[in-house]
Amino acid sequence: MGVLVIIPAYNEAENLGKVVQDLRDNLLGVDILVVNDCSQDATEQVALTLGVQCVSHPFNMGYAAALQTGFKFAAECDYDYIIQFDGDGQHLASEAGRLLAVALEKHADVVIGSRFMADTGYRNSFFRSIGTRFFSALVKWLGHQKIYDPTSGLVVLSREYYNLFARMNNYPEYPDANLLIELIRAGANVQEIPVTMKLRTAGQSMHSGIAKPIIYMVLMCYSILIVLLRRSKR
Amino acid sequence: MPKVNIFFLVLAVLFLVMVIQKTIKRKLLERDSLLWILLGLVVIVLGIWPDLIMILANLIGVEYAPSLLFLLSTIVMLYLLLRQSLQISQLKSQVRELAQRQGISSSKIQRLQAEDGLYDSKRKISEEP
Repeated sequence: MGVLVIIPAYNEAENLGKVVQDLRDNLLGVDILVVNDCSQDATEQVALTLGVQCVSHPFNMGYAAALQTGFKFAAECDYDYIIQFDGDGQHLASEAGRLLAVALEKHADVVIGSRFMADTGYRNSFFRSIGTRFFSALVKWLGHQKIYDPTSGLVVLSREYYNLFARMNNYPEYPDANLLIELIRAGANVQEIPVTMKLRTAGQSMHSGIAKPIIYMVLMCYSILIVLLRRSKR
Repeated sequence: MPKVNIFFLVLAVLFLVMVIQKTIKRKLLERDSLLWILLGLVVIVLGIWPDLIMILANLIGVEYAPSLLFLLSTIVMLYLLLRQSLQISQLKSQVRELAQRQGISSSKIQRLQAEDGLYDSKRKISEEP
């Protein structure tokens, strides 16, 4: 069975070494792909020195595009499962292993590593936790399934569904609640388990500032609306 | 013919010449230039026959004919803008697709070259003695 860990990386040269070491120590028998989204630092060289597979974008295209590049790579090599894994060191390889085990055991298409399902010590800012609850409620309402952490970046996807994302010619800028709703409504087997995550060690979060979270909220609501319209048309 | 009509006629002809010239120099695709040529022709027709806008205004029931002109030109501009947006969206997703494929392909090439290099150096070692 082939499993590919996809690490979208933008300026993660400092963190990448630890992340890859953790994966090699605690998650055996997987291939690792770093998608370098045209980093300004030595991310690419670090990845090549570590001896993992590395795809570099010719210009910066954002997190979602890097993830999709990973799906396309996986689709060409025909992996059974892929694991989305952050390059900033907040995800733990042992937890990714647990997600994979659940995927195999329950024949799940999507397994989400949740920060909020049980008290795992992860502390979120006040406004962000409101956002998370809001989108969680939306998924529950529109998809009839409770997902505690729709914005989690630690996700396992089966071949069928990462292929679907690889082929999407309008893969969304923020692939969170909107895609979850689309998947659940399309009949995917979505599982969620609580995981422990670490806080960032270096680098900057992509959801920082004042304008960005607002844009995120608006875009996500709009994207969900489009998903609903698209589904009901069939 | 009133002066103002001649002015607009000259303007429209210059506009048409510019569009055609850009098309000849391949700065503008033939298909994309068609709409602009159509626009220039409409201005020429209105320059020669300004009463047309009056007739149209009467027909629709617009009291002040020049306002119809502004309304129509705004609608045409909005349509052109939307068309541009559509094409930019399409180009964005095509550029993204290309960049992703390019990234994957060049990583494959690097890998193959690395394997090749390994093979070459092994062969050299075995040939040396």
